[in-house]
Amino acid sequence: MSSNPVIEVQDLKVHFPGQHKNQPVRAIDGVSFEVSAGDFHAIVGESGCGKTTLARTIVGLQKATSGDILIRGQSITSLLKNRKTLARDVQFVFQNPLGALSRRQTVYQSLEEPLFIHRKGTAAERHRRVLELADLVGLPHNALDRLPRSLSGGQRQRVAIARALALNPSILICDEPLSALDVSIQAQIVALFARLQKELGLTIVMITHDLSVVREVCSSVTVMYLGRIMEANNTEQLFEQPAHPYTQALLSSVPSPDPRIESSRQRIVLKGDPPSPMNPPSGCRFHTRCLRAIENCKNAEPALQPQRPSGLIACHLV
Amino acid sequence: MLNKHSLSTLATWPWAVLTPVLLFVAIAIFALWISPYDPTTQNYSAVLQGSSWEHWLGTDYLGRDLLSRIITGAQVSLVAMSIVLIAALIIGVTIGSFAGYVGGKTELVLISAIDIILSLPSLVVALAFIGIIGPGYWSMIAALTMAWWANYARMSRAVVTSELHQPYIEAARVMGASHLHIFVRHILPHVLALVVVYASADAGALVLAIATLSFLGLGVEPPTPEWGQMLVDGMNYLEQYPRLVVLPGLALTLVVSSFNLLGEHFALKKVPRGLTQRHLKILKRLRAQEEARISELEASA
Repeated sequence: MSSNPVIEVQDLKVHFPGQHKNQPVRAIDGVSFEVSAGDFHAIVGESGCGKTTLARTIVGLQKATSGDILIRGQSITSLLKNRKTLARDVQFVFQNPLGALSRRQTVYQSLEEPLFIHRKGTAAERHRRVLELADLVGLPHNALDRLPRSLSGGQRQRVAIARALALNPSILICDEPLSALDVSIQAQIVALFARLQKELGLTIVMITHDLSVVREVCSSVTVMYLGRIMEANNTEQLFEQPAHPYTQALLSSVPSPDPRIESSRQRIVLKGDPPSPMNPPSGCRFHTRCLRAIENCKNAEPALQPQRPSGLIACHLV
Repeated sequence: MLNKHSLSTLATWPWAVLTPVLLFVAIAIFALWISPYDPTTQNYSAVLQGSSWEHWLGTDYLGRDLLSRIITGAQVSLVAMSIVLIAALIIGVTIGSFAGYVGGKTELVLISAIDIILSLPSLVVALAFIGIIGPGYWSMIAALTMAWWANYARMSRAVVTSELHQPYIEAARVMGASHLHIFVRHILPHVLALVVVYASADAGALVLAIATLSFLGLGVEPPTPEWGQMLVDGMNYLEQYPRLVVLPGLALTLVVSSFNLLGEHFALKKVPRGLTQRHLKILKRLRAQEEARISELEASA
């Protein structure tokens, strides 16, 4: 896509031991994509398609079974030998902020912790940085002395984001940062992400299943299904002309605020649940639920190949 | 700082439960000053006396003042109990946390060893240990420590394994925190919070165990006054002078039951969160001071 990718995922596979020894759970089964600097990249898909595992693998919380992740050309396995260096460059925002913040630490202590771990500055300098971070994410100063349990959901997520930004990382990986929040708060946090990305020039990879959010803030999208990439494109192209039947089905589920479009929206309802990642279907993984599946879909797995005018797709029909 | 807030917090403390324990601790600490006689001085002209103005609780068969002996016995019990409890906590928390944190085969080996010790009654373990190293004050303390640490090890391990998989531990790891940092800053406070509460209930059982070993002649040696020891001494005079047995027994019963009450209270979390609230207030004040200092510095610069 671009000449200087910051994150390169190369044929990544992450398998978990399943109930049977020879039948591992294939959470991620051969995923490759690139994120270039300054991108706001979204990874979308149903629950259980391996999005979260992918995010965890990028920050090194999960070991890859095979394949590699390069961050600025350096392999994650070599980067993980020095976690502190990695931590200054890549940070992670968790799905549930209440769980991701220590329930015994005040907001101030939580925000100071990364600075403390990296021995950044004196106590006074750390203090100033914490106040700066609070301002950056729009957290009132009187919240600094509270414990996470006495904050609102939106404030908690702001604290978690501020903490992730404490070390001035250039890459932020967010694992469904909105799903634990109320809808009205989601909008604020989305706006916050968009602002932070512009102000700080961050590269953000956001795992989400909320397509309206993707459309609003993200610059490129990867659509995953059962541990594989179905389609990848820039946001505009993907929403205008979804090529993959799965993407089409996903997009048809997004209501439009425009009543004229909404009245003509045709909902494509997929039947059944996604198959088990322990025993994925032969050929194209989506063929069991695809409305347009042909004979070939059952037999051969389509490769991810470039499509016109931009992007990548894995489908026999295109 | 005694302000209105801390006073109202104090008022909500379970004084009925705390007082007996605090009284016991106070008596033990000030034993030297409040006991009217030296507890080991023998006085053959005043043997086996009843209560009088000279000897409030009477004297034993060697003419030693019973009240002084009970008071000093409290000190002996408290000191021995504290040493055992602290040693058992240190050993137990260290081994248990290590097992929980490292996991894998190391954990399996350690936890099996802990389970073997736990499967035996603690007093039996202590007796076996004394059988190996011989009786005496310090071997009693070593034996009781050996018998008691496994409990804390098991609890620490349980807390560590449950906390270790919390997302905030992963968050700290993503921040680049070392294992030592994660353990000391995030896991140890949880472990201590549980283990110390359990220890407060265990204290009573330990006092009883110390008395038991001394009663059997395996612990504190005469002439050091110790409640278990006093029970043995009084046994021969049980029919004529029952108070020689009843009074030390009563002291023992009161201490054990007051520690049990305290432990139960802690376990049911009836103790208010006053302490953490106050801690937060102090933090807030310190930050305000710091802020004022910084703004002053900036103004002058």
